[in-house]
Amino acid sequence: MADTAETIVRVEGLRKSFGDLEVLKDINFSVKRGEVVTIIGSSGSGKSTLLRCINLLEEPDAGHVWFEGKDLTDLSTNVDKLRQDIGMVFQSFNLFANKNVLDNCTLAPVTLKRMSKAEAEKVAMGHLESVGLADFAHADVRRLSGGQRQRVAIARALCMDPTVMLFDEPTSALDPEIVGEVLEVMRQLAQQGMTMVVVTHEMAFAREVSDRVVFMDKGVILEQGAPAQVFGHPKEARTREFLARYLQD
Amino acid sequence: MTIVEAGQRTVSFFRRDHTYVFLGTSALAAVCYLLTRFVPTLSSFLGAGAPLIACQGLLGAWIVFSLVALVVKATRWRTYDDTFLKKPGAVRVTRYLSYLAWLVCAVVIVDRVVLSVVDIAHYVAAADTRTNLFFPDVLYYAWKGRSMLLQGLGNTIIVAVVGTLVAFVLALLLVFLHLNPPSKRDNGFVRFWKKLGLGFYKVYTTVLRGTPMMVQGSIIYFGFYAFIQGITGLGVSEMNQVWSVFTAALVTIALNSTAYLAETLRASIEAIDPGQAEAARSLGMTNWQAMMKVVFPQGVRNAIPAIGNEVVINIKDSSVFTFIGFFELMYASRTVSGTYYATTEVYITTAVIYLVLTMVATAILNAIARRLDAPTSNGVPSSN
Ligand SMILES: Nc1ncnc2c1ncn2[C@@H]1O[C@H](COP(=O)(O)OP(=O)(O)O)[C@@H](O)[C@H]1O
Ligand SMILES: [Mg+2]
Repeated sequence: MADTAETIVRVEGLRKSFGDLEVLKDINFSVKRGEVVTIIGSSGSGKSTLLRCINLLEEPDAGHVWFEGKDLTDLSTNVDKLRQDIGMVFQSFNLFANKNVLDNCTLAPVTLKRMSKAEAEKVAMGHLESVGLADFAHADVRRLSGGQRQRVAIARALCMDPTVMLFDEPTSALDPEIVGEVLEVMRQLAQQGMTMVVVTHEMAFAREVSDRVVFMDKGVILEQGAPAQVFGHPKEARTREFLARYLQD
Repeated sequence: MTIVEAGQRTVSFFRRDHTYVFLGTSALAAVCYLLTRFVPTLSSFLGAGAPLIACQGLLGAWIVFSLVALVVKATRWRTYDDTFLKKPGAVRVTRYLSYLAWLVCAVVIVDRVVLSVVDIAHYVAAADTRTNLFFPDVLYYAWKGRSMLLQGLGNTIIVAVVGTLVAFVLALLLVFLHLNPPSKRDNGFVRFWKKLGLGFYKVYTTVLRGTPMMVQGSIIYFGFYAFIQGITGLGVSEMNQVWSVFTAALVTIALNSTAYLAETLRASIEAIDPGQAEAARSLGMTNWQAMMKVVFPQGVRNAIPAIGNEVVINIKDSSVFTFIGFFELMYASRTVSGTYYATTEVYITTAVIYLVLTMVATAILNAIARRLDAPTSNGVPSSN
């Protein structure tokens, strides 16, 4: 990524505790337009919490989150409005169980963008096509496989035409043989220039697709850099330890 | 033969076609056979001639056939599938024969049981005095008290059904107070009202669920009676127009059920995976939009069986309004009982009416729930 690209997400001095447990300790972090950043680290290190603080699904205790120049942590900011431009994909898909595939995709655009149903459906069909699920538009989401559900979740997020997409371990709940179909969709998105922040344990994907890898450990960003550098020559002992564990298998 | 084998054998013995085709029908056939032998009916259409003997013969033949099948199965259980009983033609014939057995049983039951009851009812309806036989007397008083019992039944149904419907609407409004938790981003004014709403919800559900409906009814009826009379100075007959026991009962049952239904709705809404609401929020929807478009419809659908249960509970529990003198089914029964100096005979009828009412209500509500694709409940729910 060119250094001149505009910063879309900037996190500054972010702190978050759950009770006595300090989960994020002074996080500073930013993402530029078109950049694909993967966040790796062992479970419990605060990756999800960081991601959820970026769109304020978790309210930070201290620090700032800027999105396209607006401070989300400012109490007068309309967070709901800004979230329309921050897509999020969850580990457990979180599809709306009372709606079919197409309605999952059109609910938010129709509710929030004053789009007509027909218009929203046209947009949705385009995204369903790109994730390979156009034939399932009218299917009950409960009938879909995990991989299909996650692709619907990605299409649903894309329907809001977001500026950045956050992925929280999108393939961790999937059987190994269907992880690939979701990663493929994400790879395409990256190629199309989508700005992405991906929490993942898929090291091959991180190495291949991301522009930058961030290693988190116990609530801090321990090191970050180009994939070749972090995977090839990690500076920190903890990173080496973590990678040794993950790259074994 | 090992114990496991013996167990499997026994299970398969009962699980296979014997369950329905042989065991059940032959037991029923035996009962019906005994009916034809020992229970006479005045207006029997089977009479004592050929039709009766044909029925008895068919029932007897079916019982013998079932016994043969049982013996075959018990002795040849390993090779049962190869015996003549499992030949495709034989299986089909057996099935048709079992239908015939059912039919004969139905005829016998109509002839011996239904017609007997009709005979007694006829006799009793025409009689001027009790018979001093328990069952005929139950029918005798039911007939004598029929208009009062029907009126009471009507009032019970109205109060239970209308009360629950009103309660459902109120409960929806009430849970909204619970769905809108105060957040850091609200201004002080909004936060104050949200907190007040939440507090009201808690107090309301705690008080209304923590006191008996009989007490609530008494306070509401007598309390408002005194209150309205104090303000308006109306006389007794005018007061009964403005604030009747019927109104008081309806208000009480609605307010009481509101508390239960609100808690039911809250529980089924909270049971919806919070991930769905989070996904809605992540797309930019407000808390309210996420609730209304995603969580609420699913929560309400899951609560449908509980709403049906509430109707059934109210059918039964409206009997407490006897206490304030509301003429529902229990009060009507008491009136009939007092008029004719009969107790158990009358209350048996009352119990039967309640039972039929709750069973019919349950069946209707389950049918509605199925139509709405909601889970169905089974059995009659317990009291609040
Ligand atoms: N809502 C919550 N309440 C209490 N503790 C939480 C909550 N969310 C996360 N935690 C705790 O915070 C720590 C970091 O969690 P998380 O950000 O999910 O880590 P990761 O995604 O890296 O596995 C964990 O110890 C977890 O148990
Ligand atoms: Mg996580």
